Amino acid sequence: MEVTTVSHGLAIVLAVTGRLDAETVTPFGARLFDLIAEGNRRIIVNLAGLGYINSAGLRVLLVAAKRLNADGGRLLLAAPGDLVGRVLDVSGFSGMLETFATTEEALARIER
Amino acid sequence: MTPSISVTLVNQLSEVERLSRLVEAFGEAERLGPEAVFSINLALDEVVTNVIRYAHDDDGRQHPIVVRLALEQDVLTAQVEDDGRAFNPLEAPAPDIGASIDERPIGGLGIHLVRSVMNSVEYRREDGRNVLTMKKKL
Repeated sequence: MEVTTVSHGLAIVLAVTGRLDAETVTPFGARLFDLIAEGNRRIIVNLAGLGYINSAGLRVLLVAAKRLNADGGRLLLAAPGDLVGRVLDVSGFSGMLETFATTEEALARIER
Repeated sequence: MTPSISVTLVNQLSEVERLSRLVEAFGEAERLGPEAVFSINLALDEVVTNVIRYAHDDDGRQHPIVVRLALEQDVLTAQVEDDGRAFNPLEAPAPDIGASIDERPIGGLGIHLVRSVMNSVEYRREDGRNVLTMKKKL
């Protein structure tokens, strides 16, 4: 699991690759919550390089989304692959968290 | 002969990835396809993680978790057996998948995912062991 962040003015894009599971959620969550602690309130999680996500991964996204929402912020998801997308669909996450096919579309939504 | 594998894991989270590699190898050997392998891996991940977390009351000792896969005609059976306390993961509350971010409770996701990717899930307690049997029609 690797994370990289790119700032885009109004939003920050956090790209995660590899797996999000019970072990990798710890460093991933730490990075995500650091971004929130640094004052970022619009965070796009780019899932294009993510090959696997389980309930632990979903949970950390949900906790982050709740935290951002409480502060008037948003967590958006972008570019899930087919298999990760299926997990987002069956769990209801793709309906609950704004999910976009590309990072560009997610950024466009924020900048509107 | 029914293609099958049996793996004994130790109750440590690092074992989940080792299991996933074995499942992938089995999936390749039996040509199960990426969606089936992903589903089986996800279901086993959730169940085995729950067993590691909740079945042994943190007694700090090593416990074996036996995972068996068997392919019969076009049904894949995955079974997880452990010697922990009586623990039925199917009794976890179902999540409200229509809830909004604020309403959505944090728990219940794991078993929901298992039920979504497998066709049947059954639990039984037998001779001091938890046995969870999952089937997927391929």
